[in-house]
Amino acid sequence: MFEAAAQALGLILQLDRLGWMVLGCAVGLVVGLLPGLGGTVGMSILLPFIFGMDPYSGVALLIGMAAVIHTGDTFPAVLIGVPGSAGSQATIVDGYPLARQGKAATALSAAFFVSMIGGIFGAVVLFGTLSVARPLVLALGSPELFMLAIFGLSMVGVLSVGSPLAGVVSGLAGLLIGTIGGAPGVPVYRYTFDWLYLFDGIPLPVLALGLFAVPEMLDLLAQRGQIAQGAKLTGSRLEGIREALRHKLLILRSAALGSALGIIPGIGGSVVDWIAYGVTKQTARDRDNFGRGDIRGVIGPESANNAKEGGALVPTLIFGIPGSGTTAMLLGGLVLLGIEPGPSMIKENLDVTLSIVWSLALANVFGAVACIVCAGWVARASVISANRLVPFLFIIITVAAYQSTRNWGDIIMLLVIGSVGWIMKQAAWPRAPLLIGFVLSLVTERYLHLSMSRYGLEWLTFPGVLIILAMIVIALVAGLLPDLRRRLAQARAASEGRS
Amino acid sequence: MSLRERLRLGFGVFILCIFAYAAFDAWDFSRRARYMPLYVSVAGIVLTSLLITLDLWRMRSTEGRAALRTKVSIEDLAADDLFSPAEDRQRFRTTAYYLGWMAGYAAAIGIVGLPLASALFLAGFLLVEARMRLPGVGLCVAGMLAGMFTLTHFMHLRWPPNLIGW
Repeated sequence: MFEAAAQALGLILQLDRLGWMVLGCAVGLVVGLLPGLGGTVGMSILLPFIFGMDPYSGVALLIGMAAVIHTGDTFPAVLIGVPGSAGSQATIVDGYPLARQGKAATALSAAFFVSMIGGIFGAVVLFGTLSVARPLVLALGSPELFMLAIFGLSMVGVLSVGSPLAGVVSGLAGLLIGTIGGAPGVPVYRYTFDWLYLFDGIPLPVLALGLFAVPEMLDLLAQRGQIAQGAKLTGSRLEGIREALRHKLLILRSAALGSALGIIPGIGGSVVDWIAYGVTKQTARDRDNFGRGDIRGVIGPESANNAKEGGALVPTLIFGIPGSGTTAMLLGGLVLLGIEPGPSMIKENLDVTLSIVWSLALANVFGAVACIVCAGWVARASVISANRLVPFLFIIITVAAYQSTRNWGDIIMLLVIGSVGWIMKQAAWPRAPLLIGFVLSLVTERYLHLSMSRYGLEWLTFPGVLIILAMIVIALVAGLLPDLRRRLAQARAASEGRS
Repeated sequence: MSLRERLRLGFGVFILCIFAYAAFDAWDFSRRARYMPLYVSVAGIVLTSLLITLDLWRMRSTEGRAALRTKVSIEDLAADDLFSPAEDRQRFRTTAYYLGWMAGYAAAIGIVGLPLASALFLAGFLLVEARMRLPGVGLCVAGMLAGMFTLTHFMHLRWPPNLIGW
């Protein structure tokens, strides 16, 4: 295996293949940078170009692009509080407040550095699990996948500790919005009001842009300020890397979590970063600064979302099961290159598989270095006054939102959800749980439906289900108990003060 | 009761109405399509009612009001931005004004098409709101249009259809 890996490295290090990989990285960074555009858009741009390429060059181009999407998408998440793609939603929780404090360069460079480590970790996991992942993936049925979705939903309470009830209601609203459109398994369209646009449900990019981007823009304009409130950039790129190095264990733990969740098909990148954020917060001793600009809140999800890509390639390559739109298009790309995904990837096409592993690792290094070099300059965008920056941003997000379904409904929904998001922000209703509920709605309903129709209530006693249930309980108790204690202590102190 | 408190309560009532409507409508779905929206809506009705009651209870005392304003949302910087009622009202009016700009841009796209609407929106905004000078505005509009056409070409982006067919 190691000899084959060395040969694959030799193949991928040829100058023309490195050139294709760098080109793929450049496309991936631009796609990640533009809010609302994700890996599927990047793949659709590149697929027409791989006809006639040799498999190693084609793979370098496609993997180069896919590997760095979650590196480039950190720029809008930190600078304007807008997730560049679904995988950077959790980064805004602490990344944007850091930018508001003038520490955008610190947050960005820390994010890029840990993205690189996470991406390399994912590549190592892909390499290590190629031969052993098959039984693990086959062991997960719909009940276990349903429980993993519930694990993601349990983060709702953790993300709204100040008012868990408002967070849960917000999460339920997200779940309900997620049921709009076709029901899984039956030909019923729900809450569509006979509007064709709603038959496929509300697209995730439109909801994310409306909930987070539009309210931030409106607030920036109303304050007549700039993103960095102090108008002074105090953080530096070196400081970001130093901060990241102070949290080595967190980086590795989040990367391991991201890779493990990535292996599970159907759970999707949108959930990995929220789970990583929740676990980061729950396992921290001092949590008061989370949500107000804690660098750990950037390091955790950013490390996990890049590591997830390596994990996600395991079922894609070994079984031909894509876990996301991006990996589905990658499968199409492999077929175009004359490679059949499946067990042959670890037998006849082992050299191609290993070149994928190397491409993944090298692309993460290229992408992170390019972003770290640019971080300082791009961070200066945070001191541009809002009324000069926002019109550009609004044009970008309008065009990006329209690409979701290419229907006028995208633009209308962007404005409607944007207004609702702004009201939620002013009324102190947490918005992140709504997004989590929405993202997990389809997965939850689908796997619950499958579990109930196949096993009745018997699935509740499956060992895998019970293990994940125990993990959920532990995570909830660990997350909520310290805050509950602190609140009780505060209430006691207040009542003693009065008496 | 301050404007923000009224907004919080009003939004709670709005969410409650949405859950109630969703639960009512879910009865018409087939059994398999019904259970998820129905259970979620019923849970939503119960919990939202509880939340509204708790909020009303908290708003009776000064400490409770302060707690609502500062600790409700961990991810919102709005929690740190405390304004007087007059400032709040002014801020809401300003936001409605800028929302009008955004809606106007969307309407312009529907009438004259994306490139022209974007050029008009950007030029108008930079001239009126940012008070930029004409050469700077021209440069920004040209740069934006160049970026828009380049991205559209290389990323196969689509533009919304419009009334005059551009």
